[in-house]
Amino acid sequence: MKNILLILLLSLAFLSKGMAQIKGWVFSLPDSLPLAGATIKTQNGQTFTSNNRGEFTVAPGWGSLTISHLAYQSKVIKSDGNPFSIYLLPLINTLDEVSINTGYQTVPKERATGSFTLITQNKLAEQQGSNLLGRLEGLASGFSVDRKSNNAGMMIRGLSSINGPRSPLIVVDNFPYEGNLDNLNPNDVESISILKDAAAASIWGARAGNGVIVITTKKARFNSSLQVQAGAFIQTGDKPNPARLRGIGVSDFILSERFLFGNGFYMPVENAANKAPLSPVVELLIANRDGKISSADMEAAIADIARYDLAAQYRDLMYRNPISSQYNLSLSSGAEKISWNFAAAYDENKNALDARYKRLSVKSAQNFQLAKGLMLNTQFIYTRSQSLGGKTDLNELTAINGKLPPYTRLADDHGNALPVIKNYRLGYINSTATNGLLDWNYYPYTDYQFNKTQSNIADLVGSFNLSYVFDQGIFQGLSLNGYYQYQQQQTSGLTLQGLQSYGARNLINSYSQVTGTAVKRPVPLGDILSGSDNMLNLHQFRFQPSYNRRFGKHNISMLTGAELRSSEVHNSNSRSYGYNADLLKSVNVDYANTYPNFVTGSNSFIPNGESFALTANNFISFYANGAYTYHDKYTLSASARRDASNLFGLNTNDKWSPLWSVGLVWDITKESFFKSTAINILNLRASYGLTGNVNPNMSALTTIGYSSVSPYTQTAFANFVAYANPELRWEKSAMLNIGLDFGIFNKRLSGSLEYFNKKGTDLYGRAEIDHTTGIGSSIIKNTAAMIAGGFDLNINSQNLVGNFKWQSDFFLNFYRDQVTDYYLTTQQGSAYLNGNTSITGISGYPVYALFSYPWAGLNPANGNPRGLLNGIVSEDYASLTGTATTINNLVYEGPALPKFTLALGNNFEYGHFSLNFRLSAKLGYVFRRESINYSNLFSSRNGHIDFADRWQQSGDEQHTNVPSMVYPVNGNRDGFYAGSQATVSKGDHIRLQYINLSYLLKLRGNRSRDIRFYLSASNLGILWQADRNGIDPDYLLYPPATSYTIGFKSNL
Amino acid sequence: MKTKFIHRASMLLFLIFALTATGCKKLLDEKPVKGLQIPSTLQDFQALLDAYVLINRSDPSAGEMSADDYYLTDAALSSRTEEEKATYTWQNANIFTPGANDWASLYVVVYRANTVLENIGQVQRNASNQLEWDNIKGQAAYLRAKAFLQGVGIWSLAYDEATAASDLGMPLRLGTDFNQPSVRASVKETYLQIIEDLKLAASLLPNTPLHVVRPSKPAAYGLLARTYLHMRDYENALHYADLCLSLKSDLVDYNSISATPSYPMPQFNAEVIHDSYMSTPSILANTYARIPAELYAAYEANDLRKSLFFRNVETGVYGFRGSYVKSAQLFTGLAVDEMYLMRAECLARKGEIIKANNDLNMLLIKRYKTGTFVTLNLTDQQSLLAKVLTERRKELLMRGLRWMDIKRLNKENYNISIGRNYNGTIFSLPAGAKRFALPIPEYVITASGMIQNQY
Repeated sequence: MKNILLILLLSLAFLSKGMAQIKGWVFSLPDSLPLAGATIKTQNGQTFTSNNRGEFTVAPGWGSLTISHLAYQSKVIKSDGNPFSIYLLPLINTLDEVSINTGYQTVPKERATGSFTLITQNKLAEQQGSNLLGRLEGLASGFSVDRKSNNAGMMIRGLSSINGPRSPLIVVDNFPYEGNLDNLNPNDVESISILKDAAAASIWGARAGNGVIVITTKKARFNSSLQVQAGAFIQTGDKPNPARLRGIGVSDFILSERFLFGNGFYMPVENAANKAPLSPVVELLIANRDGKISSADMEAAIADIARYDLAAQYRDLMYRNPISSQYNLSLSSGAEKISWNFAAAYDENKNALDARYKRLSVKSAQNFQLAKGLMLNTQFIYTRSQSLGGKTDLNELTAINGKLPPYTRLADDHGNALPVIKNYRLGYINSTATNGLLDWNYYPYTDYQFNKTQSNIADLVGSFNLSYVFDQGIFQGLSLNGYYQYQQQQTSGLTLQGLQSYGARNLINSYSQVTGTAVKRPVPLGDILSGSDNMLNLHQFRFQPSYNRRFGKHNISMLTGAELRSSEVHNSNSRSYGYNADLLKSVNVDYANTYPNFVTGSNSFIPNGESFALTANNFISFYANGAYTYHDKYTLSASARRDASNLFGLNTNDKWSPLWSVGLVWDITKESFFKSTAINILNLRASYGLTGNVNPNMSALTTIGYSSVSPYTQTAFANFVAYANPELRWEKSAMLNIGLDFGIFNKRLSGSLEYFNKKGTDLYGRAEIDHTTGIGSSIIKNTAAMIAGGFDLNINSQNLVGNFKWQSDFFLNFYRDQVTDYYLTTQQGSAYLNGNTSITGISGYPVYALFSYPWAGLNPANGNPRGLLNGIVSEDYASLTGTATTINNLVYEGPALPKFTLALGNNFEYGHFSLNFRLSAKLGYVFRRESINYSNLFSSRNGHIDFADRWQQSGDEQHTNVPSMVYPVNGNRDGFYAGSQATVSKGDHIRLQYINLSYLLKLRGNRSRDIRFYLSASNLGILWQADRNGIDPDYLLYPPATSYTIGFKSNL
Repeated sequence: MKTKFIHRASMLLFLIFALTATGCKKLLDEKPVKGLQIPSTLQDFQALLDAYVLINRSDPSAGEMSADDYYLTDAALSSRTEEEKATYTWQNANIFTPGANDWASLYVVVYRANTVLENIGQVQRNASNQLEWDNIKGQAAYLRAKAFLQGVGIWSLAYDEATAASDLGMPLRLGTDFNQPSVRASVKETYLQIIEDLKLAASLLPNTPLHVVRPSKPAAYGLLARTYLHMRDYENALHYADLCLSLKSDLVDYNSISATPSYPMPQFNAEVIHDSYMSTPSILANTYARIPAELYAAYEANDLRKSLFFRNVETGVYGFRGSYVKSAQLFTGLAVDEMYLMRAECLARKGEIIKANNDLNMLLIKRYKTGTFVTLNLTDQQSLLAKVLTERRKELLMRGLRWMDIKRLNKENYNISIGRNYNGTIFSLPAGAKRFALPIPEYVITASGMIQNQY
């Protein structure tokens, strides 16, 4: 509709019965909806207004009429006095709040048979930040984010696929968006439509199986005066809380080290050829054993070490309060034949680890009315962004053989950086210094200063849309649209490891060869520069004829089109050694010969960072969509689509995949029997259709990929990429949606209740395969099937009107899924214990189902965890976790994805003040907690806070489930406990997402000019949760820290 | 004006359909990822066999882990994984981690070799490519045989002509169709397949490879000799060791090697016929693995191997550092020293005393400090054979050969029983025990329905 210019047409003349008064009807184009509130002015100055049915009555005997409407283009007509209909075209790009953009067309909500969630600009503006889609959780019904499973990401109405890709398709202004979504300027977004069912999404075909998110940016209007919008905000937040990582306490850790030392655990590694590092406490214990330090001195030294806590130092020395700011400006104006808008936004963020992000986004769009009916829209968006890396985060700070001890000290009392354990024992490092090698110590407190990681993105999107609308003759109602979009996104990354950085010093030292006092350095002194370049080129082309016409009570809306997408991504990586940034010079190194490692003497090549890649994806699609409305009461819609792609090796017959949908909507209020005045909206909708899902990594032929060059034979070598899988087809998802829209008491209370049911067939299933085949442990086949379903309840209410306004919006999503068919041969229970992160795939259970080993408590005598083996209490861990325990022996705990997702937003307005806040809740799911794993603690210093609660003496089993510490460690004992009922918690929780307070300052003048000042806080944390350990069940590591924003928005 | 636009619109329409018709097929046939191939050219096949990480660095370790070239202290073993402990103490189940393990990595090689053998016929062999064509096919046949030979040494009992036809061997997967079920062949069938593949390889491979990471004719002969030795067909073993040595007989004089580096033995040195090493588990690394004192004591003071092969880890205790990979990774390829020792053993068994002494002397003179080696001249066949076997033990320790040697020698009535002690518990593996065939990973048995070894 936004693309179509003025047509006025007189439709079929109605027969007149010679009445004194003449009736007329006003409809909008292209959707042919009755227009209420249109002004009809006669030549003699009399005015009339159209009613809800678009109907008006004028006295006969006039010459011409001027019909005008606020949002539509005026028209003058002459008539012979018979009843007549008038169609008005909208002022360009006025996106009606109740219209939904599918990316191909704009559908009025009254006629939409499918299921949509529409998020308006105002709702989005209740949260701030540079990230747009991050705001949708808790705001958009049917939308959720999974951050835990190994296929994590956004989901629309849960899962449609088991192993296939599951992220929804994201469309920005007509076309799927291939670039980085962070490039979008959130202020330029007019609305977001989420297409949830088949009728809504099927027009997107094979990529719509997971739903579609359509983002519409702002457009300019013709005949409008200059509009200026400006805004800015500044946001800061809390530091991350390292206690959330739930690591082992300092004194507990030292206790475990003493325990291991007493058992001789460190003896084998003390003299290891690889000189693996030992922690400071272990070094002291060794020195004391070897008589180099007295027991008293050792105890004093350990007591001193125990005063420091790495997590606390991170909080105090490394983390900072994140800060971000944004400034935006947009201008728009329109004359009769041309309109334009311009938007610019600048963002600057600095996170808790000092990583920086800057983004400048500029958009310029124009609409030209070239001739009557012919319109050209052009739009250019240019975005530049830059990210600079920051400090190493606590959980990434590791030594070669595990985590750092929790008492590690980063800096001394004067703020000087201290060395921490990294790759080699400190004593060994000190001995190498005399050999003329570079300092081999690692100083994480300052190391980030010598590492520069930078990523620059430059993105240009140019769109052209030429449309022609036929306003009379036999083609009346037909419009032709041609779209072309070009996108080029260049991402260049750069990592500079300065000579002072540990990374550079370590590599140079590793390859150094010392003979006497001479040091030969195959990796030369200097910085190490690694670069990467990534270039995306995307062409999208669409030709789309559409037809909208009303014949009396019949309204027809049809479109059909052909689409072509072609994208190409070039990638190259490079590396230079001995780089000098001042001279812009690097040093040649020898990649062809091996050099002995300084420490171990084993030979290796100097790492060569050069690689190239090119991927190309082409899609060709044909689609059609039609809707027929009778009497504005009943709408029937249907759509069909065929897609083809160049995805490798798919059988030609399957390259084309037909997908379709049908839908029906019934506006009950328009029925003559419907008399209620309290009920304003009552629509019943139903739709059914098929959408698809395709994984580009699946292939029907055995394919190999050339990886690299063998340093020995100097020939390229190859590995298998895919194994012949000739029967592979696209996944199909059939979806039924039944919905009821309602609005009562003058729409004071409105909303919808929808039931949906999805059936996924031909789903990619991981079929276990005999390892002897030599192609791994499993292959992907179209073997799986699942059903999913639920209901969505949405309620909007104006609780109070008048001076003190109170509005609420509420949604409740109930969702559950079940695997109905899956091919897995293994029965071993341990294969099904990854509920948090990977699919379980057992028929009759959810896709992500959590199972546990049955738990029989701790052994009161020794604190051993106990399970059940054939119903008998057992401590035979090899059997408890081995083949003897099958899936039938496990306990089903519940789904790992929430059954219920709820959110409640409230908006209060009094005078110039308004306050809104949003609560969200997830209920009916379970998650597996991390706990102490002694194997990890011993081998990689990876402890857990639960260590403090471990069984230590008889009686402890009454109040703890944490097993005792034993030596030697038994991996199966740890594995049993980690997979047992003892480490499962309920995930149910309620969260306060944000609070926003604002003040609206109205400026004087005849136009509405105002400034809104606001203050808001986001991510306010969990208000209530079922689990008592204080773990945020939605996040693996840190939950996002609370942030605070102050800013303004103005309309001038 | 209107007609003009209609005209232009129809032109546009025409253009689109014209473009679509011609462009569609081309676009749909474009490769999604450059560098992706359907393996069909000689270059593709060679590239599959040049993937050195899988082909040359993933030899199995379970045999060496089960053998007696090393031991662990209680403290060291306590810190090892459950699977390593179970393998070390010869448990009857759950000794392999699911996923990446010896079984899987052997059959990864078999699948690669089969891909080449199955498809190379599609490339026309002609005058211009025949050397390359033969070479690639020969490499594939060699690698498949090598994988089966390593597997049968681990998961089957030693070859015994009397029972070989009924003893359980390896599943002989000779094609790429993964829908074919895996069925264990007999030990005899397994060895016959290995010999067939190796003879084919020997007929196709060049005398000198581009690099020793690729198989060659001497490598095929060498592996044939090893195969026949396992079968105790000493006549054939002699024949092929001889053929191998006739093509490659270089020995490295250990006097030329410095003992200073942590790992002194040069990689790809002149003795290496075909290079490969095992994916070495921690339990075999010299951080944990100790060399039995009596084995270390068997090296004489002037024996250079005494310093080149070992590092002192604590007083009187030694770890192994003599791998031909110049790292903690244990060399499991073929080298000339093994050929001399095989030939010497076969000659000694045959009674060719002088020749056997000769071979021993040829080798040992390169292992002793210059001027200190006293030339051997053993005349008694039994003591000669004993000397050969002692030298074999000393030269080829930690090379993945000992496990099969124990099994074979027990068939020769050497009655080698081995024992372990862990935290006071004694584990023993008596000569002739069925446990000399390791249990196949349980999940492989479940997925394939093959017969598990019974104890």
